[in-house]
Order: sequence, then structure tokens, then C-alpha cells
Amino acid sequence: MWTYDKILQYPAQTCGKNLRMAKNVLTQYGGPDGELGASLRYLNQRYATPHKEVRAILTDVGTEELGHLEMVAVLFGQLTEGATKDELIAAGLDGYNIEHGCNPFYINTSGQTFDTYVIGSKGDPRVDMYENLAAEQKARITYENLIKMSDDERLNKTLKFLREREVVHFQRFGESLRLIDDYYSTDRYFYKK
Amino acid sequence: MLLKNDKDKLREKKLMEIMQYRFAVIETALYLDTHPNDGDVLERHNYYAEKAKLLTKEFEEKYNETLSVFATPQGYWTHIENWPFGNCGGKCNVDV
Repeated sequence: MWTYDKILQYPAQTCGKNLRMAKNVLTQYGGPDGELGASLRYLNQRYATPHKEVRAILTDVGTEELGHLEMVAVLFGQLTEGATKDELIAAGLDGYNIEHGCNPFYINTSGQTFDTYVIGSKGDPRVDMYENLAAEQKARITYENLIKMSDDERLNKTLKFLREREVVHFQRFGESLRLIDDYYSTDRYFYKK
Repeated sequence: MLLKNDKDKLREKKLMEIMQYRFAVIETALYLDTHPNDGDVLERHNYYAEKAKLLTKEFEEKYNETLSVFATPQGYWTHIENWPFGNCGGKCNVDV
């Protein structure tokens, strides 16, 4: 089971109201390559994987991604804080405000809602690990694209931390793939041939 | 932006220190998941975990706060206070 710790993984900070970036960071909340999808992907794959190391890494990375989901939500809150009706309309967030108020919601930058079809979970350890490696790369490049679109230095500092985590996860998943490959390339017969 | 007094600054500093040790715990844990026999990193992990636990306990006792549901606050269930998000005084953060 899980328990909640009332502390962010890293201080999520921005320079204040920025509705354009508020709309953009939501994709890392519930877009196709966002933290929700990442967490659900790893926490779902861990049950049937035969390797104990892989079970451990999927559990721990999946859990960390939930912490990142929380950080992105905090960013969204800071970036929308104090917005007026006219500002929301100008930023194209009036419709969003009608549907979700001040809540962050699971959508991408163009407003499409999250769909579990973006998650690959095939039940083959090697296939699933390739999916995870790809997922980390997609999340990393999304953070890089967000940083390129942002002029907010404090926001960028937070986004850089989250980007770096994707790199570390990619590394750990690469090691997991190697463990899986080693397993399948060794002789696993129970008798001497 | 609210002006912070020295007491708040010290609290924030202590919280940041806990964050740093907790981060080291998580980072070494991920590494150990794929390198379970690395004794050096295991030793470092155990050190960071011990530090994080100690600093968390000190923080919770000093400020009578909870960082997790396992904390034991005095006099009042302070777990409902001091959330790391949504500090807008109960008001909606958009002025429509």
C-alpha cells in the first residue's frame, strides 16, 4: 500500500501567474507522456514481471512519478494564481475554467483528455521495458520543449529537475532491460543436456 | 507574495534539508533496485535513510507538525495543517 508524505520531492517554484505556461504544463500532468501515464504504466506492469529487480524498479519509479504528478499540479496552481476572467479568456482557458475551475485536469496542451490507450502493457518483460524506455524519452523531450517555450526561470529550474529524473529513470530501465536480456540468454533447463 | 519572517525561513530551511536527504534516499534506492549487491551504495543509502528519519522526527517535534500519517503530534491532529499545495487561504485562486 501507499502512504502520503506531506512534502514535495523538490520545491516546485514559478515566478507567478503565467496562463500560457499553465496551459502547457498540464500536458505533463495528464497528457500522453505525462506523469499520470508514467505512473500508471509502471505500477501496472510490475505484477506479472518475473524479475525481482524489475518489480522493485517499476514500483519505486511508479511511486516517484506520483510525486512528480503532485509537483506539476503545484506548478499549475502557481501559474494560474490570481487570474482574472479577461486573462482566462485571452489565454483560451475560459472553457477549461468552466469544466474544471482551479483544478488541474488530465489533458494535453490541446485539451484532449487522458486515455489509457497511450499506455503499453503487454505482459512480456522485454516488450514492456522497451515501452518504458520510449516513455521516459518522450517525457524528457516534452520537458525540454516546455523549457524552450518558457521564459520563467524558476519554472524552468523545476522543469529541469523533472527532466533530469526522466534521464535517471531511462538509465535504470536500461539496466533492467539488460537484466532481462541476460536472463533469457542463459541456459534455463532444469536437466543436463 | 507573502513576506517571510525568520521563523518561517528556518522552518523552510529545515524542510529543504529533509528534502535533500529524502532525495538521496530515493536516488540510491532506484540504483540499488538494479544493483542490489553494491555494498558501498547500500551503506550510503542506509546513512541517508537514517539522516532523513532523524531530521523528520526532529522537525515534527519542533514544529508539532506531521510529514506523514505515522507522526505523533501533540494536543491536536495537526496533520490537517501545512499542505505543500493550495496555500490560497481557502479561496479559489482564480478571480472570476
